[in-house]
Amino acid sequence: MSHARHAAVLGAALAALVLAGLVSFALQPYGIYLLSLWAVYTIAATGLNLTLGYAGQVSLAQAAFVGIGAYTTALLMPHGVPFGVSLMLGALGCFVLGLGLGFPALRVQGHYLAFVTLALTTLAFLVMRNETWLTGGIGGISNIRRPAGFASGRGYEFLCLGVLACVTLLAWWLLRSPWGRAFMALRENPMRAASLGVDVRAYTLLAFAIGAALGGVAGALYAPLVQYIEPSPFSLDFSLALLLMVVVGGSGLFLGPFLGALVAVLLPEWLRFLQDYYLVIYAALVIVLLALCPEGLIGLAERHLFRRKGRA
Amino acid sequence: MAALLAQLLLTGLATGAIYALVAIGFSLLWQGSQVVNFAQGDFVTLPAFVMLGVMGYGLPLWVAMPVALLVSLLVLGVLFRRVLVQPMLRHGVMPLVIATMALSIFMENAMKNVASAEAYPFPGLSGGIDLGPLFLDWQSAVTLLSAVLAVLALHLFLSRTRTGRAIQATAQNPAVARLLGINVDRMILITFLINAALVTLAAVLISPAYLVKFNNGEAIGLTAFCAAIIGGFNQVRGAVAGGLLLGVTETFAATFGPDQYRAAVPMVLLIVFVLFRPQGLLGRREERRV
Amino acid sequence: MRLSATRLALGSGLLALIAAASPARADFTAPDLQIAVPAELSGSGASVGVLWRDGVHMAIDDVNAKGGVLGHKLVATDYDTQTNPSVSRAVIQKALDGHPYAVLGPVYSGSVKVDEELTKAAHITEIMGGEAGDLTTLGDAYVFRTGLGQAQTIPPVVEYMAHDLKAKRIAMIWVNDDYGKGGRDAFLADAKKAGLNVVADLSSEVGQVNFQADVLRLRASHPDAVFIYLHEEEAARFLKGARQMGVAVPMVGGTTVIDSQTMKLAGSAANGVVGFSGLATGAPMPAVQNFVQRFQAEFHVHPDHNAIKGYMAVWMVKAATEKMGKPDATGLAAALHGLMIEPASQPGILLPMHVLANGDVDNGGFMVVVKDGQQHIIRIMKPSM
Repeated sequence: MSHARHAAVLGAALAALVLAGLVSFALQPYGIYLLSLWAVYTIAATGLNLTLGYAGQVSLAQAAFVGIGAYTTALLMPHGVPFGVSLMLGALGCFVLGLGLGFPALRVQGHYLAFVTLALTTLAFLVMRNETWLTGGIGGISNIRRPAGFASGRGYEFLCLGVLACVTLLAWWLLRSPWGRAFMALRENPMRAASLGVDVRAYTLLAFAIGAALGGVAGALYAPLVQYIEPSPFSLDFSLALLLMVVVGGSGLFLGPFLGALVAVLLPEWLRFLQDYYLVIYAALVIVLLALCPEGLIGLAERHLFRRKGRA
Repeated sequence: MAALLAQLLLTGLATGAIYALVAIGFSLLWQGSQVVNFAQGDFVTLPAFVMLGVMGYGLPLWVAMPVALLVSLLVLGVLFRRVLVQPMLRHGVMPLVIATMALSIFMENAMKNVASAEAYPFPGLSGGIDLGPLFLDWQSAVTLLSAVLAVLALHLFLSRTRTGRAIQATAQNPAVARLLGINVDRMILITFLINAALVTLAAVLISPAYLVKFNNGEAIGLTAFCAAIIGGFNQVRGAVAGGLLLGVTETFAATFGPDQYRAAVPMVLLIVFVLFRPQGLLGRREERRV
Repeated sequence: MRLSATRLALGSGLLALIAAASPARADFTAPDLQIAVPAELSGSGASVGVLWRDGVHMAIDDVNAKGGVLGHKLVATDYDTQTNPSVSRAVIQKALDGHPYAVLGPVYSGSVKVDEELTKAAHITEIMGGEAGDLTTLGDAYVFRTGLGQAQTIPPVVEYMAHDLKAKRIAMIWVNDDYGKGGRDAFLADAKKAGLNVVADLSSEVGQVNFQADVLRLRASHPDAVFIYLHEEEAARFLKGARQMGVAVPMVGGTTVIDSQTMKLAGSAANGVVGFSGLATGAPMPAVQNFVQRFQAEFHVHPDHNAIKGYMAVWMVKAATEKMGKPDATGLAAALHGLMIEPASQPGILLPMHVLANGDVDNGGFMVVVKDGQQHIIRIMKPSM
């Protein structure tokens, strides 16, 4: 990818954020809430994209990491820990857990990371539900306060967009660094990368752990957004939903999660007329998309555009 | 105490036999064409609904069973392979894995839209026999017996017949199998058909106790999935061992362990195996495929 | 060109068809009252939420057919919470952006907890289907039940076990979610007071399919009676498993064990099961039976208590509005508190209902035993006045 193209991608991502901020002035609280949710989903999906899109490993634990981040914030903030610090602590916790879990799983070839992360999601859910002394159990934690200065719907949306902007810059820098270049090489051809001296396992592990940390960041934003958390949103279903967001947008493409999360947030709105058939049709469309173009919607659009250009 | 332990073992084996049936199919698909089928649990629910549909016309279960088998072979065997697996394989394994997750969402919601979100009763055997301290209910007895017979038949087929050996050769190394003149494509199709038949049998055996509901597959699929990995992902024998081990462990854990964490049992076993014995109970270490 | 002409013809034809199909506009002179109906239309709670929604819609049709509320027509808008609290919060926000007259739903307690904040801030009344005990103990003046909460349904069950069954040793099995945990905690507290000895305390999972280990454990504890607090399907699976393994002790539980769905699924295994319920579909009252028949005719499924609750929620809104004399969205909650609603003036309320100061309601209940797939009432509890 050329230098100019990289810059254009970053520009597009940041422009989308500015647009989301401006649009909110024309929206009711509901629309603002949806945009905030979009930002949260995008952060979680961007993390997953590192694991899935760049390192080529299926992780089913992203929901658990979001949950860990959410509970960390919800539990620490009432004790006077500032929002920024609890966000960092949540992300750090997920990073360490990601390393600890990914290390044994990635020793083995194949789909073992998928299996282990599947188990982690179930276990995390059980801990959140059963350890009432810590997490409030099934009753959850209510009345989660938003950080001072960001209490209003729009104020909090700007906070979400701000954090997303930081995450975007971080991910962009990461993929452009020597580390990121090695990473790209890895994705193009693992065998060749390995023969060139790239430690495939270490890179994959780090990608997974950073992806997990971003899940934690998304969770830290999620808890004060909804202002109430309980275990059920962090179950396997949400991991699957995040996975589909990455795939629909375009896994391994920088802007993929932005589009995938947008589709996930808006499609139920647009397809309201389908009523009960919404999920059936969504799942069918995902399968068709995967069969036609595994690079997702953005991949499809690019292919289409290039073909046009080629003809002209 | 001894009576309780024996009873638990019996119950655990009957539960495990079901897991084994579903796990075998799961392993077969993996061996045949590297499909990690996340929709395997829903594959069990579909034939159950087909049977209910047929019985809805006033027909008896023994008529409904072959109809469901036929539908399974066609939809979960041939169609699944032609429409989903084959076009997807050229993109590599990962899109296919995700496609089966999407397929699971698709199947569950489609079944919900057709049959509603309610659960349905399914005919089975009631009563049982008191063997002194042990109580053996007919449904568990039939389940255990049918599962053992099915596994035995499959084993004989795979090891004693020419086609069976060709399937095994294909699973081990498709390239070499092709050189040996084996019709690889046909062998893979047969593994898909065997899976379709196994899930239909599982549907008949579990539906009386589990009832028929659109999202039953979630629980069944996850456990079978763990059983396959614990037993050894690339071995039919492994899936049987994993299924039985899981069934017995689960039953014991639910009886003696902290029951709020009962759902953790298969998951903890899974993690322990990945950590200490990634090839599973009976599996071989997987060669790196490029 | 021809294509567009055809389209035009088709379009206008369709319009004419729609105009012809919709009934002549009744003479509602006053502006419509918007009713927001958030419910679990998809996800794991779909079987519950859909019945609630259908109940609400049936009541709205009934009310409108009789001239609406003080001449105002009720108009419902459905929202799908996908059984997910964060989505629930989003759709309630959306509903509130449209300034509804009242919010009827959702059913799952987790979703209600997220929504409460929003409806309270907007001063809009939320009448919901949740049964968890703590929903009405948080001091929210805008949230109401439509049926009994666990603080009201559990004590009669304990009393039945202690006095009618003379049971001493109780084994309990409950589903580990907000519904089951709430019921279990309430039961444990009451059982202690009544001197019952809980010899087995079994937690099970939502959607659990295999109850064999639970039944074995239960048998090994040698109870005099079993307390069941599971959802309908799990209750049926458990009952079948217990009967199959020869468990013969009395089984007693909440609304779900005597639910029509449980009876259908468990078949003969449900025989002899006793449960306490708020308005049960089996209540031998003409008003209730008439409701059940009409519901079945319209939606082709057997209603359960959620359908009845949704149905009554609309009539609660009507009763409170008529008390105020004019529709006042922010005053609706105050009008509901302490209201005594009689079926004579509000036929859709089915049984006399007393709305309590904390948002709970009391409309009595039934102790029911299942015989051959039918509910038989053992005892009727009158509402407190």
